[in-house]
Amino acid sequence: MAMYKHILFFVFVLVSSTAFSQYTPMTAFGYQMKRVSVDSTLHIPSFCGVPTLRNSQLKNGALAMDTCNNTLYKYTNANGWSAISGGGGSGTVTSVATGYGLTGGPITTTGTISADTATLSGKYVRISDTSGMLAPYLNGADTVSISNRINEKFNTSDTSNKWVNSVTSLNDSTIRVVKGATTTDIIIRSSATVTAATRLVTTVYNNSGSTITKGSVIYINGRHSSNLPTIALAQANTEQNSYATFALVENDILNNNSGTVIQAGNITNLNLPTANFTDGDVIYLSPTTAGGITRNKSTVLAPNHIVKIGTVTRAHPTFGSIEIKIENGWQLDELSDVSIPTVPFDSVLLQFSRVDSLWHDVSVSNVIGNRYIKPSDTSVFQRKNVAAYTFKANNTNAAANATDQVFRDPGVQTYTGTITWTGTTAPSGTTNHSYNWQRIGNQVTLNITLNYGTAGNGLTAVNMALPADCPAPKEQSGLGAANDILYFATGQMTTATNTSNSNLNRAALRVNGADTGYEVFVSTSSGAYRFVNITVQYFVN
Amino acid sequence: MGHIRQKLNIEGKESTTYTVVITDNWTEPLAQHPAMLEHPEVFEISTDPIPADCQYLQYISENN
Repeated sequence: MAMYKHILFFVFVLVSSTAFSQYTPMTAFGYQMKRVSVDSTLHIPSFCGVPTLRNSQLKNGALAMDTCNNTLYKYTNANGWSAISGGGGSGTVTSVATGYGLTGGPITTTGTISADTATLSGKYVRISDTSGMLAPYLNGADTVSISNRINEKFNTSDTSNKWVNSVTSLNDSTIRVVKGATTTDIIIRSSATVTAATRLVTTVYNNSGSTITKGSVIYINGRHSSNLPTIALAQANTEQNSYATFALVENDILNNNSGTVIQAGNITNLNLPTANFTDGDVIYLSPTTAGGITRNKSTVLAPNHIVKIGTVTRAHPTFGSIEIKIENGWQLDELSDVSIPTVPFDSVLLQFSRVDSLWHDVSVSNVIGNRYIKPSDTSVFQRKNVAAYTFKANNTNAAANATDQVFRDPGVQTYTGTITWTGTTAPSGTTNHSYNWQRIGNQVTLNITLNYGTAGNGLTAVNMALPADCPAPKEQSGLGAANDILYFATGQMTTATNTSNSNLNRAALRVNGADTGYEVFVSTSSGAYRFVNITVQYFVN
Repeated sequence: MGHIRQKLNIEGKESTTYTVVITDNWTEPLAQHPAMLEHPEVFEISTDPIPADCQYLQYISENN
């Protein structure tokens, strides 16, 4: 713009000079103004090359044209002559040259510039040069080279355990880092201290195969690939189903979905009808319904496994609530001062040992030890396995081990032995005969009772064969012939069961007349008898 | 071979007791036995089998 001002000013001066006839040649500066014509064109000093001043008039600016080089010059006192350039506007590229790797130039009118692939080959990487690119740099087989490069970058020669294999979220507060063969769980703790909480909850995953409904009691049975614990319904019927009882489901958890369970604190909006529950009821894990609860404590005791779930804080069919505080019952073998197997032997007892201050399971024999009589002490006390129909006694004149003595008491039996009456008419009618004997050691006591409905007549004696199951009597020395009396007895024949016989009655156990066995008899004065009772004591061999 | 038995119904009284009169040493006909002669209303001769649970009577004659 300045240039144009100068030009306009110059023109104005020339016009003014011409118009107003003020023509002043610049003789003092070495130029002669031969002609000034401004009617159509204005001619300024022209040179072929850089203009020069004829005289030194440094304070005055000047314009001149280099007509040879088509350049307009200006002169200033500060910079001297300089070509006038710029001025804006637009132009046309008249020539395009080429450089390294390009062909087809220069272009002055039209043409095509192309890449010289032959020249570029070996100089730059091309997209198609995959093999050439990967071989020296990214070839997978060149692990040594890669390793070396890695080592160089990381300035270490041990790359084996420097890489993290995986980082996973184990749960809400734990990150698991696997590096090489090492697994490290980093527990993230809040910087803030929790001073109060109303519930303790855990996010879990349901892969049980069906929806686990709100309020169900669950235990953790494994881990899902999402690193959430998986759950199953708890039940108090077995130790396996109950000992790990963990929490109650907050809301329905669909199969193959995650959800929240409450370990401690309040769970609301449960179906706890007042017909079945009362505020303050302590509830337990149900032994009959998987995931269920019951307030009937008697049903969860052994052989079931008691697990206290919490306390009903509101009994209501839709807004029921429970304050959860799960307390798993302890097995005897889980107590810290009891050392017994999970399934002890049968009939063992608990015995406390001051050696290790623990309760142990011990057999009865071990409980007794050497201080008391025990079943195995048969050689000393002869207490074990008392033989059939025996008792223990000492049949010596000094303290000694007891020996087996016969004892038998068959009880009352119906007498069916042979009865022989002596008289005119035997008693008859309905009979109710019985006998009873008992053996203690070598002594036998026998009682026989004959009871008839109709009395006989002229009766003086009756013989009764020794019952077949009675031990045979011992025949004392010199005795044993037919009809020999072995043992006297007491007995009577009477006319009724409630009377006695005032006559002399004789009774005894003797060898029978054929000397083939034994019999007891009663004899008395002739009478009409229907009742006989005889008791005899005798010894056996 | 018969035997003497005490009747099972004596004077209208039924009896379940089977009483056989001992005749081991009696060589005469049973009908001549004192029991038959003295108390025919009580005794009778029978050829029925003697039951195992019978009782015996050593008959004592009233004439002795």
